[in-house]
Amino acid sequence: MAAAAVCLAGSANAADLSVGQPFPFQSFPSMEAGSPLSVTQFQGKKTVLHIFASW
Amino acid sequence: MVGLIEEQHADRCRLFMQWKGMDWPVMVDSLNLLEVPAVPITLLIDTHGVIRGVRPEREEFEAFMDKEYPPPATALDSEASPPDLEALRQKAKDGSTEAIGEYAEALFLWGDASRMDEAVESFAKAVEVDPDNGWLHFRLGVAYRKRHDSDNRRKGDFARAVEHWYRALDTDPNQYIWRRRIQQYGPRLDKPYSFYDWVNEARRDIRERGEAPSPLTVEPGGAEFAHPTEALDARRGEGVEPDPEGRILRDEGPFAHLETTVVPSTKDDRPAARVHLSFRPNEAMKAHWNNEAEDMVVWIDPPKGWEVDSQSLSHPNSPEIVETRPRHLEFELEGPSSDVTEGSTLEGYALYYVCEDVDGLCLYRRQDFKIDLSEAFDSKP
Repeated sequence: MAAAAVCLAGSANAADLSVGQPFPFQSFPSMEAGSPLSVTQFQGKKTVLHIFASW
Repeated sequence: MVGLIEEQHADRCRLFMQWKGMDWPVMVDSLNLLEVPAVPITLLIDTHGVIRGVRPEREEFEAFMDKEYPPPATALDSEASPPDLEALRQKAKDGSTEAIGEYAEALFLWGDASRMDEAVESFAKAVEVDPDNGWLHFRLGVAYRKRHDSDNRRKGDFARAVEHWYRALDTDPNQYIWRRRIQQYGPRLDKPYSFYDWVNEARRDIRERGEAPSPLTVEPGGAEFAHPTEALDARRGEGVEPDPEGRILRDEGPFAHLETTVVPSTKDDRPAARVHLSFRPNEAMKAHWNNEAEDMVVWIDPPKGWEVDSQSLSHPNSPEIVETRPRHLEFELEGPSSDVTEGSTLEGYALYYVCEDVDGLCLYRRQDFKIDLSEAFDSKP
């Protein structure tokens, strides 16, 4: 299984994105409306989360 | 499927997704609060919110879909709401980097446009307390760039964004989200790829489908469309200098304010940069461009030993006769070696037709400028 290569030095918000860790419950603005959106809103369903950029 | 984007301008991703027919909920993380070093990363998250796979192969994905996962020993927080800004403001009074940074982040994410000044000030204060923290430098840069893109911009916001992105990268050269943010605006010699060359193709394809392309609040600039190159296409000597004897009267008003931003290459092997020039009509004089006359031209005179990709630039007039939109021009330059930046000054001037509505004057004016290259390259740690 691939390991998450995540830099953890920095702010209090540093996330550990490795297997077995809970995904951060923090809300981010949604792209469509700017309203709060969090992965926890999808709890109860299996989620594929794609972290990307359009560039 | 859920997305999370690490991008300065979220609406560009919206256009991309419309083009590709992608229809997922997407979270916007312009500040890189997740602290990912690069993108893309795909995660598999179980029904309880626990990560079960990172960059999965097909077999791993299939196993994830088939498996039932037990709940974690401790129930995870499931609240999805923005933080209490006032509570964070009070907390920030303790003067710690964490508290000030958290307040700045919350202002950036959840404050309205009128609070961007406060977000910038809070990030700047956090940087002052913890000047070696690359994350704070990066986020301060993102906030400066966001303000630069707004109606509330301050002169120098873009240059300050670049400066802080460089200071961030200096603390961790392996942070590719930071590196890409600089390269987005930097020279072709330093580009890994074109960042937004897909935008025009996307709009064309979307229109051909009979849809209206999702609007962009900030159009990508030349640097963002530009493709990588291995050698500067030097054009010294091409074009005719428009005012070699300096006979055109200087813009003493000024009718147009000029802002210059130099974005050096993130590579250390040779001094290369992309220079951004922005001319904005002076609002206090109710100035506007005179589009019935000739196009604006800019002449660049690089210092000895330096090459530019174009000595003569021009900006086409808009179809409207009266118009006040800023005019952006960009060019690239390269020096012979990294030890010659000291004392190097690039000179140039712009010629433009401009009017003001106070006395009803329309004039042809010249604005000279100098760019201290040693200062620009020194700001790169």
